Amino acid sequence: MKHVLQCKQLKFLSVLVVVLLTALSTAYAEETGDMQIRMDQQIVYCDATLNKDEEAFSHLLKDGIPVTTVWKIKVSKLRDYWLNKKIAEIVVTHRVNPDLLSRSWMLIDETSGISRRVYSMAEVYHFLSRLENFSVLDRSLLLDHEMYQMSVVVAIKHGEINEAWWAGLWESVDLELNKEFSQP
Amino acid sequence: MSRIGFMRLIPLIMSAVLLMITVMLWPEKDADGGLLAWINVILMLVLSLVLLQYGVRLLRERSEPAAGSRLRAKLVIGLVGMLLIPSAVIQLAASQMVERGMDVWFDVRVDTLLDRALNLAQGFYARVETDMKRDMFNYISDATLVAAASGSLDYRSINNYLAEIRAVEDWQKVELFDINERLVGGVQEGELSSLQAAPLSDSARLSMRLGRVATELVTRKDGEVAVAYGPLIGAASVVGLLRVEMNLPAGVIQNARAVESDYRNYRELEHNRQSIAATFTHAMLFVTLLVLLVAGLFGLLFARRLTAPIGDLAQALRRVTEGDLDVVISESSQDELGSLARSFNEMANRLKLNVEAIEKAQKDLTKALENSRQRQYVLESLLANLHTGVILVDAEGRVRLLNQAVRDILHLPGNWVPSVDILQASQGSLHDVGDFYDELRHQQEDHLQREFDVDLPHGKSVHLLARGARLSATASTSFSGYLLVIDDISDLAEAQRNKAWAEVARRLAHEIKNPLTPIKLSAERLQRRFRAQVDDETVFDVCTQAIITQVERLQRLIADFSTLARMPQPKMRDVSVDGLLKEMEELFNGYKRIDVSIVDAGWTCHCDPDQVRQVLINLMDNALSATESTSGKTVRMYSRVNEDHAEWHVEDDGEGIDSASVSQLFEAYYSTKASGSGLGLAIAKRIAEDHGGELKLISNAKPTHFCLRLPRQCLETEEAS
Repeated sequence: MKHVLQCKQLKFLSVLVVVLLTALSTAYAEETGDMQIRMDQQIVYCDATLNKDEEAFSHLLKDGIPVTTVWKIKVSKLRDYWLNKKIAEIVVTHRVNPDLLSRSWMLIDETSGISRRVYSMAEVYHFLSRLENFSVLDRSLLLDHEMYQMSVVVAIKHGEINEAWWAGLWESVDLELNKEFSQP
Repeated sequence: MSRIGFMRLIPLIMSAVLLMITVMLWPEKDADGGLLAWINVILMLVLSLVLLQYGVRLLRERSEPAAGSRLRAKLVIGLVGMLLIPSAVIQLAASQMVERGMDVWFDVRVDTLLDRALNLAQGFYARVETDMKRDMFNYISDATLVAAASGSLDYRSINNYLAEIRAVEDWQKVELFDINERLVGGVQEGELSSLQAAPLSDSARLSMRLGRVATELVTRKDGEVAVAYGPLIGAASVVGLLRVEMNLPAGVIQNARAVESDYRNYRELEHNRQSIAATFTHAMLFVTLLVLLVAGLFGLLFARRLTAPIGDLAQALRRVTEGDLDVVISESSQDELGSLARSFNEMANRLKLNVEAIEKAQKDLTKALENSRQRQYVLESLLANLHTGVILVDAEGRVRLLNQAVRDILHLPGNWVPSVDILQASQGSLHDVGDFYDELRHQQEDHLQREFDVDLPHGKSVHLLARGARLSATASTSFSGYLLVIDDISDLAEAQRNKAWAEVARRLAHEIKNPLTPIKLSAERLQRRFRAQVDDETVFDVCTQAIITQVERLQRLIADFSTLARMPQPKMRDVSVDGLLKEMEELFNGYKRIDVSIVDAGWTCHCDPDQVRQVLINLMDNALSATESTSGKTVRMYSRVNEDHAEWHVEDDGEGIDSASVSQLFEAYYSTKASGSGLGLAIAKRIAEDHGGELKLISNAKPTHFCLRLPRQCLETEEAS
């Protein structure tokens, strides 16, 4: 009897912890933004904008602190009575390294490895807060007359990026955008 | 509230406080502390929930908790409480220290110093760029360079000219591109110019397009290089681009970059100032919680180890209380608890031995008591079934024992209690017994025997044979007193009396009957032979007739005596009860005052009809004699029959019988009539008794009521047996 009670207590505490962690892991997505989905004959594109004050970036960048926006784009097939089926998932990382001595900013697309140096804050803001004409997936992966959902999750990070495996366990989400679409 | 009640509330209070702290420390959006904050919150939540659950269980607990559990809980709470207070103080002090430390670390002077250092570093770079731009302005309209870019000079001439420029300006590398971004010529310090030049950067193209001098910094493996672009402007438009490089001094660059790095780190730290403080606070809180948890667990283990022997002892005591004396607890430890356990085991062992001794004694006593009870039961049973009355009186005169036979013989009331002084209780029917006891008590002899009559209620009396003995204390018993034994010998006395009367009657019949017949015959002969010879015939007739009459009366008397003396055995047969009544009605039909009620239900009775008829005639004679002067139906005769008995009732409304005569009514030779022999009712009673029945006087007057009651089957059973 005592053993059964202890098991019940353990189960109760386990469920409590799991519920708490689940609730916390999806917490706080209060920034605003826009998302557009476009298609041509072959490709599905995504345009996303993070409506964040430029001052929020410049404040950090002018102090020499690197700022990174991580864009996680996911396309899922909608299902009524089950979890949505993931079709594609792409992560785009835009990082800005300030050079205080030359008063320039190095814009680095870590996904592609392309970088360039700019001297204008407007370019920096544009680079960090926009994802333009981004090709997400091939239309051949989509079925006709089926509904899909594209979600864009943006996380803003500053300072050095922690590359350790556990850093991903506690990621905060600054913006989450969802839009449903289907093949025209 | 009692102390125990308050103690039960402590876990709930602690849980509430912990929950409040948890709510206060709940991480907000963009809060610093991150994962650690949530771990702390979860830890505190778990702790508070465990405390809440424990508190609720304590409150709902109705029965006595397990032995030692309260002590264990107190020890754990005490230990955690002892750690909680210093931990909280250390936490507060450390937080204050961190806050103060932050103020020192992020001092305004440090801030200003770093700003100035960065400005210096930025000034160096700006100066380099400014110098390079100024120098470049000297060459953007250089005719030789314009000509070279236009393709008017050969390669050697161009390189020679570029070498001169490099030497003059102290640049490390000079390259010349035409409008198509094709390398026209280039020189480099210390090394041969590579034939394949690096492609132009965006800045270079922009410079060429806009016709503006531009600079940029390029970081390479061997250090940083300042690169300047100068558009070569011909007569009307840009015709080429001069790109020069100058290696920045490594030491200065290193210092400048170090300043930049420090500035960046400082600013990052400054930005994370709140986060650092929060992280520190949460780390401290985490450590505190961890210490509390570990302390609690250690406390629990320690308390369990400490209270286990106490719990065992309490459990063992409970078992001893419940009667289990075979309990033995472990004496493993050598400390005071071990000594306590040894003492307990010794006590339990002694207790067990004592209890066994007591149980053995109790068993013996029970056995003896059982034997005594058995004897008492036998004695009581014997006394209860004995027809002889037994009275045991102690030395103080109190009746200690009195059996049922005494009550039956003396007709004692049901509520009479024997444990009283027999002299005080010797009233009524016990009066004579009290006198007998008094005589026994005061005489010298130890034994006494007397016969006496005792008057009972309702005019009855019994003839008793009383025997008494003085009891003295002996070695086996300390009781002393008197034993009285009473026997009802009324029947025996009556039988003796009847026997005596029968003997008298037999002798009278023998002695008197024989001369009566010659006397009567002689008187009749005298009457016949000498009547005519006497002078006065009348006197003669009277005398002789008187002799004859009296002789006849004497003969009848003798016949009655003879009957009483030699009553014949009844000749039993089934006789109709109502048939006898009919015979009586026919026999006495000359008397108008007789009312015989006949039911004629076919009842029978097993009896001698002649003897029963004799009894009924006797009763009717008596009733008629008593009602000679009355009129109406003053004599009534009827019968009653039940399953066992048949009854003949005779009632009359005569004068009745005196109460004083009632007790002697059935005795022989007792009569209230002048001419009666006094044997009628005695013979009738004898007949009734010979049939196993009885003749009773129901009431002695108004009406005078006799009842002959005979068993319907009794004699037949006796005969059969």
